[in-house]
Amino acid sequence: MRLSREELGALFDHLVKRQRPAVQPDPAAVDAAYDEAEGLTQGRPEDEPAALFLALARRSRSLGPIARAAVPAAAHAAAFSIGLDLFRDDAELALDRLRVVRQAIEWQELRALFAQRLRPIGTGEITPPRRPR
Amino acid sequence: MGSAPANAEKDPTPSPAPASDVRLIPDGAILHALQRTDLDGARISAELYGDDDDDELAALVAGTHPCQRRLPEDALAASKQQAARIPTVRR
Repeated sequence: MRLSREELGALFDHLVKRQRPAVQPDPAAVDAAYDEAEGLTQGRPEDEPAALFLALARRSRSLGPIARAAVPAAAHAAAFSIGLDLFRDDAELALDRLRVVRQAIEWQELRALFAQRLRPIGTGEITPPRRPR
Repeated sequence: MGSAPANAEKDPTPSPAPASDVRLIPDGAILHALQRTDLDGARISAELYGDDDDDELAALVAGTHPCQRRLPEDALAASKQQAARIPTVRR
């Protein structure tokens, strides 16, 4: 993964300092998530944001109250680290996290959802397609 | 080695920040992530729902989730529909 364990840890440190949660994220769970994400990507950097999102979302409980910020933020950081911007808004990512928690989405589906919304940094936001009436 | 403090006084070059402080300064990826994430929405969600995913899902279905507050009308409607399709119990 291009986003290092240290960077992920630093991101979580920022969120803990900002939110001052009563329960801290479990470092072992964060490590396990990183390992799982590496395994999911199978060397495909473009899958790293989705893989990290999935692996962290599965461990939401172990991340404590910062999970709702940490899981999407980690995906954005992973995207940035490979030169991409993830255009998936906070409400979509909140839904994605719950889908993972509820086991209502598989890896391949999440991977495809994220892949549709990754663009090189600086190329501007994607206009979502209009839903048919 | 007792002369180090005196040398430090003469040398105007600032000392590097301790490693513990360096981690407080966001680098590119972290700064980007912090800017692209609705941190207030996430914090309020954590306060409102805690570990209760059922409550959070109900709020998303109702369109009252803090992360939905900035959505335009059509996106909010789509978000509520998508939330309604998430199973209310774990598969």
